[in-house]
Amino acid sequence: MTSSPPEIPSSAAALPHYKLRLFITGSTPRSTRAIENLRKICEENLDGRYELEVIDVYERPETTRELQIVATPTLVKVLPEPLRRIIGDLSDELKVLAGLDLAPRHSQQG
Amino acid sequence: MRAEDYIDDDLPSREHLEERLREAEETLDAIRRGEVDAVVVHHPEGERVYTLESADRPYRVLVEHMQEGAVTLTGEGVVLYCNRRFAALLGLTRESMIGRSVVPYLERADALMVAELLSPDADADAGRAAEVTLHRTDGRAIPVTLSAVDLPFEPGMPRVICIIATDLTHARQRSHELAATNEQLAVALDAAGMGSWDIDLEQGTVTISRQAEGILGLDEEGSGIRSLNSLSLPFLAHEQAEVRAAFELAVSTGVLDFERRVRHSADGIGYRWVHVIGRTYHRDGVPARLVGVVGDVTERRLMETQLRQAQKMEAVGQLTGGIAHDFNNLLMVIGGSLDVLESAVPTNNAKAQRFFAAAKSGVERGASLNQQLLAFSRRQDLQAQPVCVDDLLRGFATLLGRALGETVSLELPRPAQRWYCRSDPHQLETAILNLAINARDAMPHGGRLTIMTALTTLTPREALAMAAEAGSYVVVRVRDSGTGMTPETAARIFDPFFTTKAMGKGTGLGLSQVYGFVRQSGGFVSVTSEVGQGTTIDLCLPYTDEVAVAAPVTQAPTATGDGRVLVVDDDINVREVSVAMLGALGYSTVEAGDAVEALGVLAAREDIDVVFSDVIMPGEINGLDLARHVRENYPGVAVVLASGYTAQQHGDKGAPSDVELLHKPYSRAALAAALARARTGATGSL
Repeated sequence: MTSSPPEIPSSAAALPHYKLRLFITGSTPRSTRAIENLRKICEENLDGRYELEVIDVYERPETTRELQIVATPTLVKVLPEPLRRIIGDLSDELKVLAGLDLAPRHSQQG
Repeated sequence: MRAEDYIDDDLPSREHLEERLREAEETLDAIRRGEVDAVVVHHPEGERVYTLESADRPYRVLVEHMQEGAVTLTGEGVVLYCNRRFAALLGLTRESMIGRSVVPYLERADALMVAELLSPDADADAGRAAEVTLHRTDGRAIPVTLSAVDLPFEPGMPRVICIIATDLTHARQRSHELAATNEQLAVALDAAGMGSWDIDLEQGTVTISRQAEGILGLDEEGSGIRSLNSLSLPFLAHEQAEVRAAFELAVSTGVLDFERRVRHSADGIGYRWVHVIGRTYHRDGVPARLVGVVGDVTERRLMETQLRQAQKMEAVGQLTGGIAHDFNNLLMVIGGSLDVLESAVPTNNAKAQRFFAAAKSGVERGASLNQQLLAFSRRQDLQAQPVCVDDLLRGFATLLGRALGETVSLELPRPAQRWYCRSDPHQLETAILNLAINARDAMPHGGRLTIMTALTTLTPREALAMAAEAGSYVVVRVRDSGTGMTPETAARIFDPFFTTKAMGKGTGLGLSQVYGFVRQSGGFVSVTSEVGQGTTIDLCLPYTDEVAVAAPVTQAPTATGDGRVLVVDDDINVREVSVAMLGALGYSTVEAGDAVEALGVLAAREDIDVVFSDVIMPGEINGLDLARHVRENYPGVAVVLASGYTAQQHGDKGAPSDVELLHKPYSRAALAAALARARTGATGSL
């Protein structure tokens, strides 16, 4: 994935556009929780500059191969690079923000 | 994660490797901590998903195949899951729906309803429903029913509400179509003057359309839930049992069809006729519904009654006319014979002369009765001319007053205008006199008789019911303040020989003359009467804009004569009497039994001076044809025709103008005068 995403004309033009994929398993509790948590995080941190695709692995199991999904729920940050996988129900907001490069990973540890 | 994944990578950077390692550790940690609920195993033949919790697959398959939209929402309306159908309702893909709020797809007013549906205050166990409109991405509005139920999750989990969305577009369309059909039906029924009703036999309830309520007069009694009885209650008290029986019978026979009367205070007669038609419909072989229409047929029944009356009078008229014709011939034979015999009896035989006078008076009375019979059967000669009824009334008001007696006052209000009608003034006088005498007899203790004229116009529809022509009529209204009549009596007053008077007081022909005369004049009679309220009889005569011309009245002289008369009549008795009368007048005679024989006589002999023939004779040639033939081929031969009735023979083929017409029964003097006039005419034309 070397091609850059199309420029989105907006007030936040300088900020990168996010392309996210969330792999879930239907209405299972953690999948549900992951959707809720991600939505909240995106709204608070990526307002208007993200594209989310929620993929039900029951429906499209083949999609897991390309991104090497081993468990659900898993959030994949496709863009901006580098590609990053965050596993779990995304209830740890700081971990998610770090995974999305929205907060320094080290601050969590420090 | 397998080792070859790394081997395939081209010189992965240290940073990248660190990242992969961290991810792998996190994945293991997550699995160890139970933060995942499914594991995906990559097999060479494909991926397998191992759900760690509820194996919800069969339910998902069901949900995915539903024709309803299925969606799970958070308490704020965010879509957690939806089936394809739900996304399709909004014109979106499922992937784009999940994680989005449904609120932007709702109408503002509906959003409140949905908020209530999702509210935690709602009874979690009970199902909730709301009808809302969804706005598709293409702008179309989709009416749906949302039914919601909370999904029980373990404690500490966010609320999830399961919702089924049912597309109402087709149902709405069908109900609109149904409404439109119902409306069309209502309009059609209204145009036909009908209303519909529907009995649910299982529930025992009745639905009655507004038109049907009007026809049955139900709206006056207040509406509400109708019971089975509401359909029978409007009917006249003594007919209700029959109506109920008819409905009950219809349940088993399947058909309902009757005409009965419903109470109707607004109408003068107190009731209206209604026609009820219905059919029974079965459900699983059991009568379930009795459905039908109701129409007001009062007007139709009234017209039918009038038409039946007109037809009856026509039939009676035909019969009476036939009798009168034969009766005339009998009177002719008797009267003629008496004439002949009288001349053979010495004038000084006073006793014999007295009997002759009595017998001749009897013949005259018989002839007068016969004249009325002919009048009724419309076979009298009418001298129709423009008549101003008002002038005529004032002309014989004195005579009318005398006929009415002292206790009855006569009123002749002046009409707005002097209208003319086409009628025979003498017959009209007789008719009015007959009505006046009847009115007098209906007012034994005195009263008031009013005769007035007016102008009325008949529409084609009204004319049909009266068996008359549409157009303008001069109405001669004769109104008394007498005892009035029951409907039964009123229906028969024009019948010949129908009388309510004591034996010997009336012939029962007075009103028959009135009826026959008016009908023959091209008019009609209407009667309005109520017991205790007096009677009004309207004579309606065809209006004319011609103005009367005074007809000259000539009085023929009586004379004896000589010459040879060819007497043509199929009735041998009449012929004999005629021959005798002619002999007494000084004529010699030759006889013929019919027109063909008469033509033979004319061809064979040259000494015939007059042909005296009956008008109506069996055979191909009647008296009128014979008269025309004689006038054309034997100009020197005079013609006299005799008939019991000639009116119906008048028309495009009338008698030649110089042919004398003699009415049966005729006296010797009348015969002599007719012969003398005929001979003068024939000689004059030479």
